[in-house]
Amino acid sequence: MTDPFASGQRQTPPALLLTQIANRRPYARAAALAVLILAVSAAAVAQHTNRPVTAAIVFLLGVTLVGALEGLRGGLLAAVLASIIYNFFLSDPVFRFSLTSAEEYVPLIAFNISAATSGLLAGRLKDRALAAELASHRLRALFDVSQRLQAAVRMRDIPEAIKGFTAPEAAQPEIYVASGAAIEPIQDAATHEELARKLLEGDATSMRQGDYTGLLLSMPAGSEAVLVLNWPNRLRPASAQHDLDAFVNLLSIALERCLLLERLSEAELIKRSEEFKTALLSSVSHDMRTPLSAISASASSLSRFGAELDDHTRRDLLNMIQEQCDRLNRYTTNLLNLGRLQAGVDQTQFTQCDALEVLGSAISRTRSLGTEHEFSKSYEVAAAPVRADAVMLEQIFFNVLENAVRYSPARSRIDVSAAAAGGTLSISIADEGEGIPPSDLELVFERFYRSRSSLPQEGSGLGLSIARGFAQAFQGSIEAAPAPAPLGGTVITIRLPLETSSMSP
Amino acid sequence: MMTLRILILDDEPAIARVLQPVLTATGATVFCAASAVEGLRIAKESAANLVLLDLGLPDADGKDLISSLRAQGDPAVIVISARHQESEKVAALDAGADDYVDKPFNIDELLARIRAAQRRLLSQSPKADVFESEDLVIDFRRREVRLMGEEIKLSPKEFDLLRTLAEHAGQVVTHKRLLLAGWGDPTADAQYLRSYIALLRQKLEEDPAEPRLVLTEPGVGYRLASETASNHRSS
Repeated sequence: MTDPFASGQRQTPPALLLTQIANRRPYARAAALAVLILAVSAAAVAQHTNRPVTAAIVFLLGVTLVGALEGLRGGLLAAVLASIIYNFFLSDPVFRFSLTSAEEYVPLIAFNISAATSGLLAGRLKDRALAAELASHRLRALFDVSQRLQAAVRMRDIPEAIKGFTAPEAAQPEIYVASGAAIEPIQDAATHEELARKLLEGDATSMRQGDYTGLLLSMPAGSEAVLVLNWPNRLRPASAQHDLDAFVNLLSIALERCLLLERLSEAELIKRSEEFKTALLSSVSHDMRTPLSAISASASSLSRFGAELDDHTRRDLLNMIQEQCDRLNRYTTNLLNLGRLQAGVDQTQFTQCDALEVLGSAISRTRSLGTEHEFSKSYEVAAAPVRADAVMLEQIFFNVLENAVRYSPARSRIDVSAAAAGGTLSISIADEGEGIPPSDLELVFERFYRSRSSLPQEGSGLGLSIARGFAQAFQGSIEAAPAPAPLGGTVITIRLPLETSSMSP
Repeated sequence: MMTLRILILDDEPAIARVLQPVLTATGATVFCAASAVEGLRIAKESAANLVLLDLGLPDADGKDLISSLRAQGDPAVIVISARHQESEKVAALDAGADDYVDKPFNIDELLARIRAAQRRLLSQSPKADVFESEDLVIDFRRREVRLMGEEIKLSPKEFDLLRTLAEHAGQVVTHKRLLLAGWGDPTADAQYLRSYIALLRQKLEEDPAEPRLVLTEPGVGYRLASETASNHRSS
């Protein structure tokens, strides 16, 4: 069986929520320091060669660059540092702060203000850029994880969806779901069950334990869930708390949906099993009581009116009893086969058998039902070795043939053909009946399906579903289609893998 | 007695094949149909006065068919059904069916039901004044009940219930109809009905714990046995 919920392709893990942007800083800081030293050196050289204007401009450039590299704080620091160095070391007199005249005041103040302003502006710009980058990264990461969470339909999809989001690979968040007294981790790991249990038993909605934080998630009535994640306070900026809140919300929604889906599918399963039981009971009620009625009415009529009935009627009533006993027997066989399919077919019991030989036997059995149909056979192969259980294989053919006989007019033709191609044997049984509406071509293989046609019918709606179950047990298939002209009824094709080695036991 | 013209309306060929010769042998004229559409047509053409109806027809719900049949010729309708759900039977009876037989049935059971329906067909026009079976005689006008010649005193309610059962002797009468007859309200508590049926049995039955006259049809209603000897229910 294919799992309809299985995701098609493996995805890369989601982006980490908090990229370590700080990691880039040591390098930026070194660069800033280098720029500052370079600027001071250049300014010193300029000052000593008596070019004070150049020195001031080089200094300003340095401060601006430091601001651009280090942000606001770095820029301001550089500006202050620059003022001190300029006043104390570079401007005359060297090694002291001396302000002797207004003429000296003006350039110094202008320099200081310029340095501070350019440091401030460049730093602010850098900070804004950094903040924008960080925000966009956070948004992308949140969006990414929300998409993954939205795609999750089962509890066990969730750990995979959030993997790598709050922490790198090693310290994955853990989720515990509690219903009643039982606490279940939804991922394989359960290293923080203790914390989860404490949180579930207490009143608090969050709890810390070392570097780990436990958070109570909002869940539908009757269930509780806890998220435990590695979340050391010292590493996290304030904005991360907002991201965590958003993440917790997304996670709660996904968990809630998965939980409800699970409950729904359980309910669906129960409903389907109830429907099956109802169908089975109504089938037993109809398909056992109808032949029993005919038998009971025939037998009681014979015993009550035996003398008053003519010979022909008496014979007919006796035949009827026999026929209806056969019918009951066939129905019982189908019911037993249904049970057999539900219990699972034991494949080790399969042997190699010739499908054509078994088909022949099924045709004779169908003829013995007293049908007046004409069976026209055309086999393109002389023998068809398949690995199967011969009795079950005959049941497939018989059920399909019986169905063809039942839903086509008396004395009409039934074409039976066999062909082999690409290691597959195809056996087709076509009739001249009314055919099946296109919308019902698949439904006929459902248990207890009955045609809505007004033809008199005695089918149980089990035959074709058992044929399909058995064909699948033999790694084969069975399907219905409109029969080609001139038949115009239904063609049912059974496909079985041919045994390649003819030396098998 | 009037000639019965019976329509067997069943999609099971086996049932028709058995019943047709046997019912013919009892003197009835028998017609067969396998679908609702065909059944309605043949019922009209043949002027059938009794329909043996299978509830599980492929092209219509048997219950809907009952009102159509009644509308076009008012035949008696006996439901033959493999459905053992009591609610189905009650719904069919409420829809106007006269009686029902459960599958599998034996021919005596069916013939007894047919005779009961036939009696009702006969008594339909002039309202009978007296009901007479082997042991039981009821004079409707004088409200007198005699069991094996001996007069039995019944309360008015007991008498009303017995009269309703006797008017449909041999046929099932639903709880609803009995409640309507006794209390004028079909939704009255069925517990009243059970108590009065118990009182009635005290007065009429040899052994009220094992009634032979007022028979219980579990989940459906009660039936007054009209042929004491042959009317043991088989299940």
